Amino acid sequence: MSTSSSTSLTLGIAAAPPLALATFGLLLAVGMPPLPEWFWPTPTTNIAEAAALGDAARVRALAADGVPLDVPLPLRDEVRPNGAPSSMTPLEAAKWRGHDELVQLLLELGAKPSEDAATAAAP
Amino acid sequence: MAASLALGLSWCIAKSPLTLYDGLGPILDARRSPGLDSTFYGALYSSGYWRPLRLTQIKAVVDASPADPVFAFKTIHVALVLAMFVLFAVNHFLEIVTLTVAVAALARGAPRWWKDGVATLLLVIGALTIESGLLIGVAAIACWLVGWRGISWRGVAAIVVVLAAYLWVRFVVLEIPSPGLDERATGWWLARLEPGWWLARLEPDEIVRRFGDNPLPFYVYNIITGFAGALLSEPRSGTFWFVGRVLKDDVRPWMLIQIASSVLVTSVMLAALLPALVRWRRRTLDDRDRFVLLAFGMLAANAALSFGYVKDEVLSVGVAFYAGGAFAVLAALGERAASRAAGAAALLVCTSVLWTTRAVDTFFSLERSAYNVANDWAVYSLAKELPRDWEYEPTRRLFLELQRRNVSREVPHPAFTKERYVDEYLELD
Repeated sequence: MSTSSSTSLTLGIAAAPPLALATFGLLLAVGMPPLPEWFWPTPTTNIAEAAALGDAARVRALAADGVPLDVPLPLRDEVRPNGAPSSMTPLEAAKWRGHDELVQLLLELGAKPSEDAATAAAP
Repeated sequence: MAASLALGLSWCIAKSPLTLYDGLGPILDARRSPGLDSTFYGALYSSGYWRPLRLTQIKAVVDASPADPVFAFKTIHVALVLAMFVLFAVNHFLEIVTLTVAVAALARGAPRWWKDGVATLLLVIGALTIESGLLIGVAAIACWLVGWRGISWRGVAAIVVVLAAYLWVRFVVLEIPSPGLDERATGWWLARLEPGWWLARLEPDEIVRRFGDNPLPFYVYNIITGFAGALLSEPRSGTFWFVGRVLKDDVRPWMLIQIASSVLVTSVMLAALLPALVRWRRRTLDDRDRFVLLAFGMLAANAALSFGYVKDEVLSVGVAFYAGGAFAVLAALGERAASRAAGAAALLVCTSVLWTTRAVDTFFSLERSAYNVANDWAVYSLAKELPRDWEYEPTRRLFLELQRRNVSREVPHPAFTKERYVDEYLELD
């Protein structure tokens, strides 16, 4: 390879990363599928899963949409705490994971503490 | 390329909630205020800060969009980001950065009679918005000193008069001093505290205890660490985090990336600084020299103005000029690489890879920040934090509406984003 072509190659390598990032930014901004969903996935967690993850914004948003607070819901494996039952109420899930602030929020939103939930607090 | 990046970042900003802790109080105050004029006059006599236009701008946005101020604020942020990138390549600091770079762009162009008036007006707007706005005047003077004469000497003289008038009105007429030592916490060395090297922060009462009698060492420390931090990515906000991690043997890859990228570019800029100073004395500057001189000059001025406390946003004006200086020296490096200088080419590749990694960081940081801020909104209690606003019906209603809109923005939990693949290489928190 001649010196001038190796120089061109080097400059091309230098230009590639910022060009790639600029292309990513442009495609993101114009909403080119599947990039926006890949980078900023729409949340699909149910309210119990959100509580298990400590995702207070999701919990509050779902509660505002009228999702019941006291119904046990299934938790996906990647979300479920070790040893936890496969279905839990949001309050149980938050207590299991020790998200005290979220427990408080759920109580303020109207979740009813149950004996089961109290049991869940001590895994 | 710059426009594409700006669009991508704007997309992330549009998806994010509104900042809670610096934003909510002024927004609720704006709703409580009866009009723009009373907001302006009320803010004229505040203590510690003199920012009447900042609150007036917030009031104008809240009044103009009573149904959805979140959308209005987002639109303004996106417009500022786009303006910043289009001119040259979030929040009131971003506004000041945009205005300062606009003044530099005016100065760099051909002389026009109207530029003197526009630059002076931008200085007035910036200075009455936040204190960093004074840098707009400093930039106009600095541009004139390095030979950019788009703003004439008359315009520069008017700017000097406005700067002097600002100082006179604020400190003599209204007697509004600089913020006191007890205003906020700040970073400080690596003070040793149990269980390790981790007190990296002085709380306000501790600052008063240590420096109440003589604040000069504290101010000098803030200026030096602000300046050094912008050039080297260490210290950060006055604290030597990287050194602390080295001492704890807990260095993460993203720290090395930040330090290495800054050291590389700053070294090249320092190598260009001395010849530029020599040519400045001989009055033989070229445009690249001017960019380099402005970078160091504006960074020093910004650090000096930030004597009270150090944080990244406060130095954003200086850092914008640093980016301009970096562009100038890297462009020169590219020309040397094109003329077969292998060392220059290698340096260029390293710089490109490292700084692109940091730019990727911005996208992921915005995503993570959106999650954190959405959760701040979800658990925030207006009744506890601002009981006066909770008891007043209009501000309570506005808060509840802002909270509803900000928690329902469908921000993903980090467990479901791609950050889990890159968090070793990016600074996400």
